[in-house]
This record gives sequence, C-alpha cells and structure tokens, in this order.
Amino acid sequence: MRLPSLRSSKPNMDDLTPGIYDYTHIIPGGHARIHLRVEKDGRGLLLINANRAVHLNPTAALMAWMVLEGRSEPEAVAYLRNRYQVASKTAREDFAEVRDDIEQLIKPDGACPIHDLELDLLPPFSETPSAPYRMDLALTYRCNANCPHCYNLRPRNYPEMTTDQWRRVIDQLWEIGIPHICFTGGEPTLREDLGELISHAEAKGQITGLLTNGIRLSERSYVENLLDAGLDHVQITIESHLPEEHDRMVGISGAWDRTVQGIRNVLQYGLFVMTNTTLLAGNTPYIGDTIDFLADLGVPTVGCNALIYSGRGRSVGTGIPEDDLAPALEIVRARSIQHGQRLIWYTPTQYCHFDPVQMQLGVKGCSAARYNMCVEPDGAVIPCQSYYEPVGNILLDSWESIWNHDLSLWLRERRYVPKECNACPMLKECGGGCPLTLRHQPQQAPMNHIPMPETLLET
Amino acid sequence: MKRQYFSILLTVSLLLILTAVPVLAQTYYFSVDQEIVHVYWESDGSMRIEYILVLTNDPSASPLDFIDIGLPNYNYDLSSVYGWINDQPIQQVKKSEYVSPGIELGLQSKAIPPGATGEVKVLIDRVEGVLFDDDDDSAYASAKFSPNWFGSQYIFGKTNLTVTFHLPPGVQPDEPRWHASPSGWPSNQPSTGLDSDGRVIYIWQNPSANAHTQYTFGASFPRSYVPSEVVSKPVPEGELFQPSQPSGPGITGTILGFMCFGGIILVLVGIVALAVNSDRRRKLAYLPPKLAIEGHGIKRGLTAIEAAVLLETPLDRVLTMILFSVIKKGASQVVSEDPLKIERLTPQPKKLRPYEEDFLKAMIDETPRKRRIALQKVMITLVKSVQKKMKGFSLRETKNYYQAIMKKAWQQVEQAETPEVRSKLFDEGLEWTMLDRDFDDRTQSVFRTGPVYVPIWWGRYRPSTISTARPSTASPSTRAPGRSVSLPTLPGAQFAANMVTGVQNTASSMVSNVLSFTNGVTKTTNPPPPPSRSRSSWSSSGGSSCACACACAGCACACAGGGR
Repeated sequence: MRLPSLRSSKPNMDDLTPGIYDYTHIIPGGHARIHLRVEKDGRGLLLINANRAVHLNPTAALMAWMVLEGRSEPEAVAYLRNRYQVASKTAREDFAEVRDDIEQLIKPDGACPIHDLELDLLPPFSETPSAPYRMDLALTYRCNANCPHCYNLRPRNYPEMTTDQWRRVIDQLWEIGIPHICFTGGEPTLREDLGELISHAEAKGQITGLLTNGIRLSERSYVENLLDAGLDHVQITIESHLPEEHDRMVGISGAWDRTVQGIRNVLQYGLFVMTNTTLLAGNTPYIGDTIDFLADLGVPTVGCNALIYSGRGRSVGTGIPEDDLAPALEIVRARSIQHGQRLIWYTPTQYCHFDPVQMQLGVKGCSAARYNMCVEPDGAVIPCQSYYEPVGNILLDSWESIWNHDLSLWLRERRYVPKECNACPMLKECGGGCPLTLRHQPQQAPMNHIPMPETLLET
Repeated sequence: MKRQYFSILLTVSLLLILTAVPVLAQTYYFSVDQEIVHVYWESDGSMRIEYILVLTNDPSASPLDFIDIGLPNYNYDLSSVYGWINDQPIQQVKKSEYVSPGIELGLQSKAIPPGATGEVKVLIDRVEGVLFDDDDDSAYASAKFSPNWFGSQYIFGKTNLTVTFHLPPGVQPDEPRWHASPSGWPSNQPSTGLDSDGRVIYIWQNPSANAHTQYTFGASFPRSYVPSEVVSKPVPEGELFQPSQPSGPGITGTILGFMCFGGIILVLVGIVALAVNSDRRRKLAYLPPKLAIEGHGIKRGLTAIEAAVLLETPLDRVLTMILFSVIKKGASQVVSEDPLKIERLTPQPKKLRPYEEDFLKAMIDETPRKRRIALQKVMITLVKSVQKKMKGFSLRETKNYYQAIMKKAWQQVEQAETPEVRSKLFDEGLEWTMLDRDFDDRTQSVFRTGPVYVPIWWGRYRPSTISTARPSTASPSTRAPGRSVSLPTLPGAQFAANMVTGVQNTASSMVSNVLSFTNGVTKTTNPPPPPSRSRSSWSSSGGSSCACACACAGCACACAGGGR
C-alpha cells in the first residue's frame, strides 16, 4: 500500500495575501473578467471587466475573495466566526449579501449599484489606490497617420524597448497589481510583436486593449492574429463619416477606407469594440451624421473627446472651447440614445464651462497618476499618455518612487487647481479640468461659482 | 456571544522518537527539514495518521537507521502500519522496544547516511479510542494531537511543520471549533477549508517550527458525527503511556520526555483552559463588510416639492404643496374652496418653477375630468424631472438629507419662544414640514396653545377663515407682494385644525377622487421593478420609481484612453 499523495483542497483561507487575483466568470452572453486587488492593509478593490471599480473594506475583501473562490456559505461562516467576534447569523447574512452584490455587479444587466444594491457612495476621486487600474503601453511613437491635432510630443524615432523588455514591463505591472493594460502609441500595430505581448499579458491574467487608428485592422488575418493572442477590446479612432474629412484630420489620403474596413472586421468578432472621435472645428458640425454612420456599421459604443492640449494640439487651433461643447454633445447623446449605443465622454473639463454630469455623461475628471498612467516606448512612466513628463522608469525605478513622485502627487492631489475653484461645490467631481488645458489655455479661466438650484431652507 | 465549546478531555498524542538503538556509542544529529502530518478523524471514531518527514543527517553523525514512533494508545493494529523511505517500502515494522505504545521502523540498508537527506513516509491506518468528552459542551467531542518532538540534543535547524486535521465526514463547516494554536505559533488559528472529499480541514503551518518542542493541536466537533460509545472520558494520569525502561544513557533525554508525558496530560488541561480565554481575546473585532463605489452623493438643490416626490410623499399632499407654493408666491388665490377654484393674479411672479406653471395651467380647466388628467400630467412630469435630477446621485443619502431638513424645520418651529416667531418659522418652513408623515399631529401639537399670527397668504388660500381672525397688535414682518399689513391672529388650535383639514382635503377638492388620481400617475411613473432583489425603498405608493439610470461614476474612465 502506498501512502496516498497529499489530498488536494481548495486554496487555504489564509492564502488571501496582498496582491492581485483574477477570475473569469461565465455570464449570459459571454464571460466577465474580474480582478480583486488586495492591499497590504486588507482593503480590496474589485474591478469588473476593468470598468466598474468597487472599493471593499477588509471584511468585504475577504468575503469577496471567498465568493470568487467558490467557497460555500457554511465554509465562509465558519472561517469568519473563527477569525472574528461575530455571530453565525450576522456572518451568514453579511456573506450572503456580499455574494449577492457581487453577482449583481458582475451581471451586465445586474441591479443598479446605487439604487438597488445601495452600495456606499464615495466622493469621486476620493480613493487613492496603490497603483493605477490601467496602464497604457505606448509601444512606439511611430505612426502611419499624421494627425494635425496629435497630442504626441515625442519624435517618431523615439527609442523603443525590445520585446523581452516589454515582457518584463508587463510582468512588473502585474506584480504591482495593475489588471488592465492598453497598447497604444504612436500606432501600436506597427510593432510586429504586438500579438506576442498581448498573449503574454493575457497569460498573466490581465485584460488587454488596443488603441489604434484601425488601418492595420483592415487586414483580416492581422485581426485574427490579435484575437488569437487574446485581445479583449479595441478602440478605433474615426473622425468623421465623411471620408475626406477623416482623411484630412488624420493627414493620410485613403485612411478612411481602411479604418472603416478595420471597424467592420473587428465587429465580426466577439471583441468589445468602440470608436473614438475628437470633436474639432472640422468634424463637429456633422457629428450627428457620424454617430448615425457608426450605428449603421454596428458600433455598440462610441467615444468622444475634446482636443488635448499637448503636442500639435497646443497649436492646431481647431479645438472647441468648453463653453461650446454642450450643443455638440447634446446631439451625440441624443443620437446615441436613439441608436441604443453607449456613449463615453473622455475629456476632463471645468464644470462651470461644460458639466458632463448635467449632460448625463458621468463624472469626468483628470485621472492621471491615479487610475491610469502610461509607459513610454523607452520604459519611462508618464502620468497619462498626453502628459510628457516622466516620473521614473518602470524597469529601473521602484514603483514607490514612481507612484509617489512629486509630479504624481501634484496631479493626484490636484495641486494644480486654480484658486478660483476652491469654493466651488463641484470641485470634487470636476477637479479643475484637464491640467494640460489649464496650462495651455489660460484664457479658459474657471468661473468662481456654479449656479446651483436654490434651496428654501439652509441647513 | 459566550462560547463554551471546548475544554478538553484528552488527548491524542503522538511522539516520534529517534533512538540510538542498539549501539549506544552511535551519535545522532539531524534536522527535520519538513514535516507534514495528516490526521483523519473518521466517522467510526478511529483516527488515521499520515506522516511525511524530510530528514537531513549531519555529515558528522551516525547513519539514521531506526525510527521509533509513539502512538496514542495500544488500540492499533501493527499490520496496518506502513513505512517508506524515499518511496521504497520499509520491510521492518514492529512494536518498538523503546517507545510504548509505539512502533519501530528499521531502515536497514536504506538508512540515511551522514550528510544525506531522506524522505520517510509513515501510515498508521487505524487507531481507536482517541476521542474524548468536551468538558464545556456535552454535545461535542474533543480531539487533540501532538506530533512528534525529539530530544533537543539530536536536533539542529528549523522545521517546516504542517499539521492537517480532517474532521469526520458530514461535519459542517460552521460546526467544529479549533483549539488555540500552540504558543509561539505564527497564527493563533488554523486555516480552514474542505479537502477533496468535502471534509472540513484545519491546517496549522509554521515554516519556522523546531523538532524538539511539543506542539499540541486540537479541535472539537459535534459528537453526533461519531458513535456515542467511542467518545470516552479523559484518560487518568499515567495510564496513557507506559514507556519501556531505557537501556542506556544514549536515550536518556528521549525517555525523560516520555516519563513526563503523564504529567503533560494534566498540564494540557490547564493549557486548554487558558486557550479558551485567549481564543476569545485573539479574535478580531468584526467590522461589517462595506462595498462602495465612487459617485455622486447627495443631490442638493431640490425644492421641497421635488423632495416630497423623492420621499414618496402621497401625491395628494404634493398637489397641495404646489397649491400652497403658488399661493405663497402670489401667483394665484382661491376663489372657491369647494370645489376648489383658483385664479391667477397679476402681475405674476417671475420665478415660477415649471411644475408650478403647469399646475396653474391645469387648474384653469373647470371640467373635473379634464382637470384631473391635466394635473396627472403635471405630476408625471414632476416625477420624471426628479428622476432625471437624481441620476447618478445617492437615493439613500439624498433622502436622509431632505429628511434632516424637514426635522430641522420642525425643530425651529418647536423651539420658537414666542407665538410671533413660531408663526413666522412655521410659515417659512411649511413646505418642508409638510414632508413629515406626522405633519397633522405635530401641527396640532405645536399650536395647541397660544395665538397664531396667520400668514398673509392664508387669506388667499382660506378667505372664509381669515374673516374670523382678530387683527393682531403685533406686526410681524411678513410681507405680501406690494403691500404691508398687520397680520390677524387665530387661536392656535383653530389654526392647526384649519391647516390640517386643508392639507387633508384640498387635493380631493381639486381632483375629486384622490385614489383614481394617484393611480393615474403611478401607473406611468412606476415601471416594473428592477431585475434584481431590491433593497431600494422606492415603492409604488409614492408616485415615483427607481431613478436607476445612474451614471456609474466609479467607472473612472477605465474603458480605454481617448484622445486621438
């Protein structure tokens, strides 16, 4: 008789140590990618499809982990009772509630976290994570387009890391606990190792996205290559439904045909597909038609942003003042609702000039060095992919030194906010707008107040 | 909650002894690099023990050629004891000459030479009589186990020790209780889980244990999972182990360990009693789980009428609130109290809200049915407007906020020191106090005594009432548009009664059938419930529905970067 091998069991309860855990759950119509980041103090961050962030206190983090590990209620209750001074009934009810909440949060059509689940609400941008939720990887600054409004400040021949170095970067990001990476540039599809890097990240458990002008996606075999690598989502820039306007805005004749073909190609697969359009003087007058066109193509999610005051964007002169954005966004919003499309608005603005909340576009504030950062082709880390001031090198410097670099703190703590904003009740959401806009568009001065509906009785 | 689930009884102890047998001149010096022990507490009350030991012999020591293992008692079958050395079966397994009760494994040609490392596995398939009463809970059985320890003179280095209890099949995860970990253990509690057979397991692990210290582990579980007859009373002192006499000085230290064991059993009882208390102390305070997302909090800036919609105030009262609002603003006055008819005044105030404008237009229609339908549209528009305003904001926090305003309005009225101030504050805060479900009772309570300085707009609302009021001698500063008056007074109780009656009946005099009116609104504004269990307090009675179109502000734009 042989001694039986040690019997395997589910992960030990004490295996919940600081770090990041990834899960894939089958849901109706697909699957959900879930990441649980556990901090050193036991708090947790639950990220669902790299899109919905839920903050957990240590008890909730532990319970979430048990739920995601498939622990039964009796197991969880037993563990909780032995670890905490808690009655069975309380532990059982709390665990069941956390489990139900998570189930609803995972569902695409689950209950509203605010009004149904009644999760606690934190002020926007009030949480400081230990690392961003998303890291953009600017693989190269080379580009096959030539947008006059491009925010890129670097030369096209900027030094690039090797494939092996990028793999190490991805490893490092996973170690830090970043669950979501987006390949960008320049034009990331010009790197022949893109698929390889996607595979590497996916194997680690990260969600991968691609920000592209879509030109190379016009090749079906190339798209299939990326899909085989495991790419999760793609964002394609299209500036207009008018070929000549798009080509003019991207500086390449014939680009529109290939970009639209790229959109058609990716839509045939199960990728999360969205487009992005920069609202500038040339394309905004026809933006409604562009949204219609994208709906006809079958694009489920459309994104828009305003000019970024970086690189050529500082001098192109085609940007739309924040005060003039509302009419265009009204059209975009109305059309996207009409077509059943999801609309994502990116640009942080000063709410006294353009209030995305009132436009029902959600809270938009600068998230640089808080929820996202960017690694440049040479490994330098910049606060966001438009803010070209390195705060360290991902392969050479400690994460702590990068994350707590003076510039990172300056942005995260919003030290750039104009003093006129300090008394504004909307400051928490607004954050003073985009720091780059503040720097390069000083004429866009904030108002010193936002008209608020009157209350009949002050508290 | 007071817990009395264990005290002990007794103990199953296991000693693994390496002895220098029979050549006393041999010197043993080794490390136990790893020790993994699985203890299976079976449903028939027996136990099964599995050992994996990784032993490294010191280069200067003698070969490790014998291993003695102490057993809990004599209730074992030697034929069911098996051993392996580096995955090769150990042929020589017999009753130990030096450990009683215990067995001896002769490694023979497979002895671990000096400087080498070997892995020893041992299986004791069945030992009976190993469960004992739990002193504190007669419904529980207790099991304790001490894995081996060695004479310290033979041992160097640390031991990565893992002990796993597999509790009887069927024991539910929330039933068993662990006993406190040994003193100095990195965690005071084992980790828990289920094994591949679904049995509850407790795992104690210490990568920095040593092999010359006795560690004792224990658990209690409902005795219903084992036959009642297998659970015994604690073994009296001295009866458990009867080690054989030492035959030479080379094993003195080891034998002394055994000789002390009868005493150790008694000591364990004390240890466990302490452990019960320390177990209670070591537990962490429980903080309820909290999930939070980033988003908007309170929606400030709603009017009292909008807040009334939010707070699910009955629609007839909301209608009355709008009427009061337009009258207070000087936009209209009552020309007939029953049926209620109003007329617009000129000039119209500039800052009428959309729902007030709509209300005035609706009230022009004198056909009861048409007026009711028009007022229903006013309410539907109002409800939808509030829903839109609430998008992305916390319903709960916002409700609490407006409830607090309502309470403060009452507080100010109730704390007023003079009838004049009370009347003035009541007038100013009327829209907010009307949010209160106890508005009627509180109004009558507040104005039970003393006069009330009737607000100037009251005359536009209840012209018949004002005619009975006495002119006041005081002149509160309430000012109607374009004129200054001395306010009349009413006895407080009369005013309160008029107010309450007015609030209760005004709506019905506007729409005749309040229930029909309300149903006409709610069937439009209350869609089917959201697709989940709902902890929301939005109900069907209040003329509102879930303002569920939250903006999901916590998404923080993580979808992708934009900008090109």
